Amino acid sequence: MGDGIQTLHTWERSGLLDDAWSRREFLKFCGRMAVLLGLSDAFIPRIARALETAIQNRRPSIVWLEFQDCAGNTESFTRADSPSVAQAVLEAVSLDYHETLMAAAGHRAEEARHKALEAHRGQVIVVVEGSIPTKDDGIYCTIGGKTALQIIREVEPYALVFVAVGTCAAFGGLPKANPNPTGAVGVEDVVRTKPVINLPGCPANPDVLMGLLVHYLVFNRLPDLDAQRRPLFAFGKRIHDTCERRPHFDAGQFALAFDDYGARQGYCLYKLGCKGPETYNICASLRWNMQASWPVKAGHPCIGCSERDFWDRFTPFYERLPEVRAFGVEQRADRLGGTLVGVTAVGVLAHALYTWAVRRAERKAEELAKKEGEAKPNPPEG
Amino acid sequence: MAERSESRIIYMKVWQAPIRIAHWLMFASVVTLGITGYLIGNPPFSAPGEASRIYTLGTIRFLHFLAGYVLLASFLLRLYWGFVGNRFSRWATMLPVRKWQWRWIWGETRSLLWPRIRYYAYTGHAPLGNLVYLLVYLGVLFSIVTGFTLYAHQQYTPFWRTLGAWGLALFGYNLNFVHLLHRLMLWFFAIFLVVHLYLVVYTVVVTRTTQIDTMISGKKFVFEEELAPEAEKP
Amino acid sequence: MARIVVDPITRIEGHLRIEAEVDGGRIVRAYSSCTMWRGVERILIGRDPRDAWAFAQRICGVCTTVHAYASIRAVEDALGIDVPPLAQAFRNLMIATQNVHDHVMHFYHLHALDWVNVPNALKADPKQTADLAHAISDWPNSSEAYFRDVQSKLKKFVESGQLGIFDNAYWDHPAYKLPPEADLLAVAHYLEALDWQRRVIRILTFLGGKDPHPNFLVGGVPLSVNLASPSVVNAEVLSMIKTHIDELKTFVEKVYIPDLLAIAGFYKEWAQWGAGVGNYLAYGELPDGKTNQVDRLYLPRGAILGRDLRTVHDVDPKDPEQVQESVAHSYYRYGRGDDVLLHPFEGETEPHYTGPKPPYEYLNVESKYSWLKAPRWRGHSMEVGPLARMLVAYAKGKPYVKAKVDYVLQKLDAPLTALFSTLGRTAARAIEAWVMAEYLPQVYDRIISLIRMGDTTTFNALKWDPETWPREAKGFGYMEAPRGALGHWVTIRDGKIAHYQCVVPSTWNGGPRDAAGQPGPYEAALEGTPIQNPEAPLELLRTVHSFDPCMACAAH
Ligand code: HEM
Ligand code: HEM
Ligand code: NFV
Ligand code: SF4
Ligand code: SF4
Ligand code: F3S
Ligand SMILES: [Mg+2]
Repeated sequence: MGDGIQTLHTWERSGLLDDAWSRREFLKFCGRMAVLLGLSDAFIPRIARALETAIQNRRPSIVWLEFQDCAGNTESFTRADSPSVAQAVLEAVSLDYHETLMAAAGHRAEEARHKALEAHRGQVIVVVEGSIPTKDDGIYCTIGGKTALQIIREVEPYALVFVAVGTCAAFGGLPKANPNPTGAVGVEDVVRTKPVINLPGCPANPDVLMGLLVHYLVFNRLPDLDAQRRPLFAFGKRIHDTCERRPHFDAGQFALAFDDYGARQGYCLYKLGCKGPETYNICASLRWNMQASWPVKAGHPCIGCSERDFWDRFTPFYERLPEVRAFGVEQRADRLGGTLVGVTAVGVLAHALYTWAVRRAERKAEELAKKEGEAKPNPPEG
Repeated sequence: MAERSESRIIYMKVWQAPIRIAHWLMFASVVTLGITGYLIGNPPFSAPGEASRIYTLGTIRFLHFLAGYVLLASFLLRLYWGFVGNRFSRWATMLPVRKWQWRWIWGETRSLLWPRIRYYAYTGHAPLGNLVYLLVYLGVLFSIVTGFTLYAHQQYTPFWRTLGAWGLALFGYNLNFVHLLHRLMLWFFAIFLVVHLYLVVYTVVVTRTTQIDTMISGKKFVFEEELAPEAEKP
Repeated sequence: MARIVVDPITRIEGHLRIEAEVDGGRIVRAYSSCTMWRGVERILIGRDPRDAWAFAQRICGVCTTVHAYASIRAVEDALGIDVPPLAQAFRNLMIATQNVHDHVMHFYHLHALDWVNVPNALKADPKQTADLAHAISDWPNSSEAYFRDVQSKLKKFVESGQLGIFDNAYWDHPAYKLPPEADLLAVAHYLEALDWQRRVIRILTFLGGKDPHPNFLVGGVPLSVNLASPSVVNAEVLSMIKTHIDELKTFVEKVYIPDLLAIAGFYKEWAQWGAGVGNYLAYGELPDGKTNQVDRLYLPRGAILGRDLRTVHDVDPKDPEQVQESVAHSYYRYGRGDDVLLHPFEGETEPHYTGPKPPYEYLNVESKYSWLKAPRWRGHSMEVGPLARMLVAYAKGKPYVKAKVDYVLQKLDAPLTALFSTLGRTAARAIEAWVMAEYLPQVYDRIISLIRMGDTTTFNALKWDPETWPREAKGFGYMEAPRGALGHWVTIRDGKIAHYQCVVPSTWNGGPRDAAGQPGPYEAALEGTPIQNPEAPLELLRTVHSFDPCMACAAH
């Protein structure tokens, strides 16, 4: 085991622990990565080797751009579990530009970005956080006097790949929510010449970003993606199919209100509007913040924060399905449907009565005519 | 109006077995799907107890999916028979592409709206019913597409993954919207069922034509004088 | 006169640009400009008020949680919802945790590099570093071997030639004054704090499901307590929370406060610069009773004008005469003309960019130049934040604040007036973290005793259903966010949000000039700040960073 690996650990553990422990932890980490990436145990040594090599050689350059963001993904990144952000930044990659974390400011910061781009032309992993405003020539987000769009254009030729972290960068996210005041879009809508990988989530799970980096370090290629450019290893399953409350769903055991009997038993949150059935993410199995918990475990329904346009599509959050706009008002689907069935039934009944009444009148008229007809051939005598 | 009891009764073999089978399978599956679907959307229960021993919603969902497959099968059978069956079941006759078909449809609609206008019987489909059935088959297809898209997103084999991705792409990558549309179809069928049953009974009462038994036996009995002038006669 | 531009201001949240005129080695005028806007106030219109917290929360991922609370309190205020005592206690626990977490990260990861020279740590003697560490604290990670290890890692890192986030900074600037040993100590703690923060933040994860952006609930908290269930908040979860509270408190007491005192000791001249407007505003925080029982706030509400600590003015955020915003120099347009001031219940957010066409060199500071509005209290430009809160609490004689302020001042051998400065602002933040760190075990005990008494209700369902709401209602939600006084003003009509305005700490502090030409607190604080080398305006960063700017918050 090379010196580099020990370093990787001692950064986090502050050098207090012996090498044997570090080694064990490291292999455990490689094992977790294998699980995360859906690889068999046989890959663990390969992961370990690749990381060691990466550590000893030139580290891949990362340029992290922030546009219309809330820095939530940056914060999230600092909470990464394995590797920790200290491990990653000091040992595995070179974070050459990141406004929230970097020491340099102003022109010097921009210079650092240019240096990194020039030094790694075509090899830079460009991480983007936040959406890109396109309305009014993009004046809603400028850095160093340039718009987000201008910066994307400047960086694009140097990039190996764009990694859109967070739902804002991936799909436009919050800024794009109706009425999208700034014409915000996701990275995939503006980057033309380079591959884009989406790591949605509000914020993205930091360990998924680490998994992506590890995957790249180990295999020297990007992982398999789904149709929305999300890595399958993290977005291959619905929350609902990995959720620990799922047995309660299948049993038909639900929390019917917050903090009711069901909520206190940890029953399924479906009836409180859980979007787990519509959401692809790894929260339930990977969890958050060193496996402490995840939204559903902590009692709140999943709001589907990693799905495209969830701000408009998944709201209101405490209803399972959105409302339907019909007859000028927003209504629940079932109330609308039920009303229409009722109206139909009444209509049908009215039709039946009306037909019956008409027929009866006709019959009466006929009978009358018949009576009169009977009377005619035999005019009264006398 | 003339004395009805005196007129001649026409007898025809109308619905072939595959049509009847498809119809009743469709009936059974749609009703099952509607009930189980409603329960999936609004589970009205929440029973305490050890979750691992209870499988209420699991069972309901299982029934829903089973019925979903039955619906698919019946739809495929009906689809196929529309190409090879008798003239009453052919898509070629059912599709309202000619002007006179629309004239008939209007004629039947008028007599439903204004019951003073005489309501006639037909040997095959009544023209308006014919149109509605096409719409219902579209509805069935739509439920199948949305239903299987949802279903595909619960299976993780390559086959279902691919199917699910296609399905989702159809709906702007919005799985929640698929749920909503799928759920709305429940009400489409509920409304259809009300109207359908009414009109079946209406036809029986008003024109004294066999209907329900026809869908069982395939044979139709109509009084000749009740037949629409344009209706096909044997 | 030289005009310097620093854009991006880094090591803050968001997109801030400072333009400053320097004359005779000092800044004579400064202009603070936020360069990003999303329009969250507009996005909130038409939404379900019970969802609003989630939207508002995403205004910022650094002070994540605070906009959620302000929003929830605004909605609860509008609808007349009281939260159960246990829910209130859980909220306070989360608020205080978030505050300390944010302050520590600001100090070590955003602000420290203004004072700590990373490459210089390579020159340190690990033995002397260990001595220094022992002298200031009994924190265990302080052996010579430990510092030698950190130093050798740093050396290896620097020698790799890939300096990453430490590249291209002003490391050769003469204003860096720490001895190498103190630099090494601080670098070690930079890394320790990075590790510490991701552990203690788990308190929010246990209670809110994830962090950043945990989950909240109008009417209470979404979690349930059931000691008999393995799936919800139970004894095990509570004990893990307690472990992290202890860890949090120990770090503040044994690392943050000693480091602050040690570093500040080398930079005492910074007690003369960076005071700024000298007016301070706090809405107050940590309600002991009901949310709107203002007299039962652990940190009190009030305003101080002209550095006069003898008078604390009453503050009523619903009074149309008090909190107002100007857009005279902001990229917005008011229907009634840009020289009026509007109270948030009447506030408008209509974008109107008149700045230069990008790419640009300079802003047109004579007209509109920022995406921030300029908030005013009774017409005054006000500073908000830890300093404002500590001053208001001090002036109101809160013993748990006063003791700590006095302790720090005495250790630094500085008068009370030293607080009105860049250094004072940075010290106040640490003091507040300390106050909060001591508050946490108290609120934890309250939670435990409530649960023991069987009061485990965490949600008030009475007004959950929109059918129970009035046709129209207005509400105000306050929050003392890490960066200062935050307010959300909501109008609910027919079950939907009809109007929404946020006036945010960094808007107060970082806003541009108003219609009367009064500068905002950053702008005022920068006036007089020395600049040795306009090419490397390190001093400018120090003063701006002392406010802990957050532009995503500020513009929203
Ligand atoms: C959800 C339930 C049902 C659906 C979806 C449904 C659908 C259909 C369709 C699509 C047809 C046209 C057959 C074809 O030519 O392909 C049809 C015809 C018919 N159905 Fe149903 N049906 C349902 C329930 C019923 C029930 C409960 C009855 C009897 C009580 C019934 C009686 C009939 C009869 C008599 C016809 C022939 C009517 C005609 O040709 O005008 N159906 N139905
Ligand atoms: C007449 C046809 C059908 C009706 C009326 C119907 C009705 C429903 C309803 C009301 C729901 C609940 C929707 C929600 O609230 O999310 C549902 C869910 C579902 N349906 Fe259907 N459905 C039909 C056909 C099908 C078919 C053909 C399939 C294919 C297998 C299918 C698969 C599903 C699936 C997978 C779900 C989601 C179940 C879940 O959430 O676990 N449905 N259906
Ligand atoms: N300014 C600000 Fe915030 C805070 N603290 C909040 O309201 O940082 Ni993002
Ligand atoms: S995706 Fe969420 S966390 Fe990330 S920048 Fe957008 S709002 Fe913030
Ligand atoms: S809580 Fe949500 S994700 Fe979990 S089983 Fe229930 S509906 Fe599915
Ligand atoms: S809300 Fe987001 S964090 Fe996970 S559980 Fe749902 S995707
Ligand atoms: Mg505002």
